[in-house]
Amino acid sequence: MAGAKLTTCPDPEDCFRRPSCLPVTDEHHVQIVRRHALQCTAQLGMSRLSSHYVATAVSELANNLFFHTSNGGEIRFCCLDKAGRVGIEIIAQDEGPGIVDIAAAMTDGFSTNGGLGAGLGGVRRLMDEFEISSKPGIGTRIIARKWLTEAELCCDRKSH
Amino acid sequence: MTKLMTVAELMKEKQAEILEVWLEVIDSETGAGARRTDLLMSKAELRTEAKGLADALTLAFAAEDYTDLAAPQFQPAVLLLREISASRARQGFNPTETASFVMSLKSALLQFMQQEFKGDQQHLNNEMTKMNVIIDRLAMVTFETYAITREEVITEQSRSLLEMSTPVIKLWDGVVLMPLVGVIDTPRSQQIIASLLKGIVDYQAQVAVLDVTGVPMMDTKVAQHLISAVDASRMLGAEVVLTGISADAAQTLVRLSVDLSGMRTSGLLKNGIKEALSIIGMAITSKDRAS
Repeated sequence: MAGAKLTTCPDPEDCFRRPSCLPVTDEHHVQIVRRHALQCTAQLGMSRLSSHYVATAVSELANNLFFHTSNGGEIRFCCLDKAGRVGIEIIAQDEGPGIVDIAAAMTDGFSTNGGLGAGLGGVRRLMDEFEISSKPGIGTRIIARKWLTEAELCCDRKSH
Repeated sequence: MTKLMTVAELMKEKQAEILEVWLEVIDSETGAGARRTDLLMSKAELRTEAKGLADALTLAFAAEDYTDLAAPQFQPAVLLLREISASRARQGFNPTETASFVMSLKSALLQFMQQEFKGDQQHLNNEMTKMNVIIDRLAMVTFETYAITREEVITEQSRSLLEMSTPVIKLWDGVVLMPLVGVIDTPRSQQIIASLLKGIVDYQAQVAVLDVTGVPMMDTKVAQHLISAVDASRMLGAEVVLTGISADAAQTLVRLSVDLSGMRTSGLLKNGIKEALSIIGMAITSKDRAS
């Protein structure tokens, strides 16, 4: 189906519906969600570089869930198909300590646990859309989206 | 009316017959499981295990307080089941197959109890409750041991994987190479740093080439681990050359604003080796040029 335009999300049953919400409570879960992200982007027909961006962003978010909360959290994967645009939505949610100063947390080099502090700002730069809401003592919710480019949409998925 | 036997006495008296029925039940109960049992252990082995357990259970059924697994009468049965369960977990039996071994005794015993105690419903109920409680608890022991043993197997495997995956290779006098393959998480990064430093000391290396071609993804955590490895190596007087960063990883690291400018990096391992040799004042030249 070379040249065919993807107007609907391919096989939403597969990657996105079944295990669409994965827990991150242990360090090895980071790898599970990262691999799941790659499966999702492959299914969408995302380019190799964009897939790498998404997988890295997911890995950053998962690391945050594991290293910044005591009980971990979860990452939800959604397939987006709106007004001719196809993409992936990643929601990382936890009931952790929350982020007191979001603006500071988004700044590169800011870290509360000795990390490099490039995670959140990095996720924003790797993805197309980024939303964060956090309440200290209640938890944090980060939504990040990456859309397929026109080229990716028109391209045969198998060529990647 | 003569006093009816207890389940313990029944077990003692008719052990041989019960054993036969039990083995039949094991054979017939789980179709696929039985076939696997056949595959994984011989009939004679199964018989020996069942006989041993039947002996231990005869003792367990005679316990005064049948709800207390810590009672001395239960010890032989518990120990034996732990042993059986652990060996089955290692042999590759699945949890259902492992637990159904002791659970299947229930249906065997029930046949005998119903026949023996049919005159007295009350007595049958009492003894059945006792038998059920004891076997259920022992099945729980089986499950627990099974899970613990499987976990041990997994831990052993990951430990050997960890050792396998971080070799330090002497490339030339004063130059070592460490090819990294797979995911770098916290325990792995500690292992990497430890092996790298040991390699640097053992081979008196001035340069270590760290090749990340086999690392699937570089995020800030991985970058942080690599930076620590470089810092620690420098303390030992060795320079690190990082090679094998893919084009995708490079672009990703730029977006993450991870700063690797303090490190010597090169895309190909080949160039990394060239640089490493130049640090120790060596170079690879063709024969013609040397003459």
